[in-house]
Amino acid sequence: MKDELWRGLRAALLIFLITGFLLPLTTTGLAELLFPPKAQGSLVFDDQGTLVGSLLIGQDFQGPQWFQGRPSASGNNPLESGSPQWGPLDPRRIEAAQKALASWVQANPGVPLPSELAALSASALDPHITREAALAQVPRIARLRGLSEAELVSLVDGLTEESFRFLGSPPRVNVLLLNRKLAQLANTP
Amino acid sequence: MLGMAILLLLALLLGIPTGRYLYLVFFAPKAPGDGWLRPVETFLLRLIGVREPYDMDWKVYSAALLGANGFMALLGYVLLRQQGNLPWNPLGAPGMSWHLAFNTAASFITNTNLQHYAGETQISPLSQMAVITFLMHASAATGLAAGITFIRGVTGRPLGNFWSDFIKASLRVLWPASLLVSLLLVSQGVPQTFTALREAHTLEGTLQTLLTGPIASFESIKHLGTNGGGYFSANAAHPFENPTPFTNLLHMLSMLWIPISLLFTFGDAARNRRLPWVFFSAAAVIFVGLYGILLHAEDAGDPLLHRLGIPGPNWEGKEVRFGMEGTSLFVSVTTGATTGSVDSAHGSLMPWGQTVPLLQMMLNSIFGGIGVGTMNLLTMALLTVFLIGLMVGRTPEFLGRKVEPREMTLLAAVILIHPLLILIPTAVALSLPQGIEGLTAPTFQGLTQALYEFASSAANNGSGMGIDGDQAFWNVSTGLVMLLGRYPSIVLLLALADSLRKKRAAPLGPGSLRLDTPLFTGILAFMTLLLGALNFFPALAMGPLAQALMLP
Repeated sequence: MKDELWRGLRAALLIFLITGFLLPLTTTGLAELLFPPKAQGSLVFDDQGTLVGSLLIGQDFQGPQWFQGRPSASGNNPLESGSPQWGPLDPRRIEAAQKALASWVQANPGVPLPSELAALSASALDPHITREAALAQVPRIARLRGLSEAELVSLVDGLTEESFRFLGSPPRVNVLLLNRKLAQLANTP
Repeated sequence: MLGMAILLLLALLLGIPTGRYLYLVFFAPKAPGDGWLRPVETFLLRLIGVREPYDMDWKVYSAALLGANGFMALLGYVLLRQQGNLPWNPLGAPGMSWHLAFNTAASFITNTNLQHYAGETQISPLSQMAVITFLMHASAATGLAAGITFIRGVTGRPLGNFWSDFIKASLRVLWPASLLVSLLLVSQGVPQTFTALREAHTLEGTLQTLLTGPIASFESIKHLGTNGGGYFSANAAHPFENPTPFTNLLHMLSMLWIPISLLFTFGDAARNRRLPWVFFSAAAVIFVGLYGILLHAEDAGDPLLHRLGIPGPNWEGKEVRFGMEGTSLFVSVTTGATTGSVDSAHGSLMPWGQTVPLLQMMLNSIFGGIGVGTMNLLTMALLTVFLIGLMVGRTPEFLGRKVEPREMTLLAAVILIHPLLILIPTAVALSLPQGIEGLTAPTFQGLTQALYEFASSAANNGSGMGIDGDQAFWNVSTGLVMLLGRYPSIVLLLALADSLRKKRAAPLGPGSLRLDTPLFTGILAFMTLLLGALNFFPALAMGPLAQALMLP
């Protein structure tokens, strides 16, 4: 038995060195060789080379002239991911939905609120909205920016991702990508 | 339902050849890759101090397993306590308190991965890599070794050598598989870098701090080893951990891969190619049925929001890219395979939706975690054999070996541990102010949070419903439940396997109970559900079922 304990100590150190250092280091080396931009976090830069964000991380678009993303528990702060896990009877959940509904109706008269815009995302960083939620914002943005609705609809259509319908993934749009194109189209920030 | 069918089909397509491979690695004299892996294996065993693998009885095997896991957890504990003094800590995460470090080390060595710390701010990138990734590998290899040994025992073979099994599980299964899956994940956008922090200037002109790190190598073993801890607080809902529907599918396949393979390894070891299908079907019937309930509840949506004039499915705590079906499937797989990774907020599921992950953790054998899942399924089969024996009035046999009082005593102990570890601590937590303090939700949801936390700990799952767990009471209580949920049952089952192994196998006669029939499959599934219902229905009634009744 004593021998086995001694072996246990040696095994602990050996596996620690291999799986705690050697394996992650090897993986990093290969990843940076094979998929350099993705290994870094799918970073997005502007024309001046300034880091704008990551394609995978949703941003908090406050202004009504932007396409807005999912509600986030932390205001899209990547250092505070997650959801408060409000249950189905939690009054905070109902209150938040009421608030979202009220401000939506004010900014988008006559357009029904897409349901995912009334609910917190799981990550607080959801980069997507459904295609319907993007289209529902088109009249508002067209009005505020003086663009034609047709132009915006084709913008949304061009960026719609439709993969994995068979697993239930809805047609969706990356909000950061969409707003970058929107800024280029409108030529104003 | 199409997604579910595709997932199970893919898992079988992966699992059947892998099961054969595992059989060759652990049971046969020769295995693929011997030419260049055998020398490495011999070298690693030499480093541990094993010249020639010798057979162990259940006591020595258990001692080796417990000793190795003990030192690994201790190493993790010390590093977590000291992380404040160690390099590569850009956000200045302080050393963990004794109870948080205890909880975390216990959590990761037991394959639970319950997390009471915030992945972003309370742990350094160095700890994520050198402590968490390391312990995830170690606990997965331990589970696989235990499962293999159990199969050896019940099929009448010597139990083998823990060190040899542990190294084989690592070198020939987990290390290559995790490297492969890591690279697939990076190709989809999961970061793998040593730059941790970046400052981004957003389109609207604010600052956003991006946190990356060696995430792919963390993520791959997390699912392959049915571990489940998140690099970030949001776990697999975080777009860096799970950026696309494809990675969502890959994570689910990784979780099911080895548990399903082991059923086929068992079939090969028992020289019966029909047995794996018995176990697969019994688990799959329950799995698919519960998934149907969950998906229906989430698709139907929240009646309280519908009343406000917001129609649609239940999006609260879900991510757009996974949709209702991808999310529900992940909830099913992660609690069935007792991984505990989450791609949605389980606390925000509808009441019937919450019932499904809870019940699957309570049953603990709907495929189950790496290695131990197979042990749990076989345990249920042994119990079913015993009960059928009682009903028809003959000595129960399992694979030709008589199941007698000694085996039944061990079995009864194993089966009792699980409900006791869930129900008693839940009752204690709900009657102490220290317990109530951790609950973040009112009324029935609060009760469900406590029940879920202990079910998750006892099943070595690790998902949660959002309790505020970083308090001495919750850290210590769940830490103990995780340890007691893992090791006593492994040791008892090894004793059981050793005892069955020594019996002479009687040849299959006209009077013996055949396991490889649809009838036995049906009874096995029924027994599994019945035992779960008898143990847990009252607790479920006070939690999610009460909430279901309160909704309009």
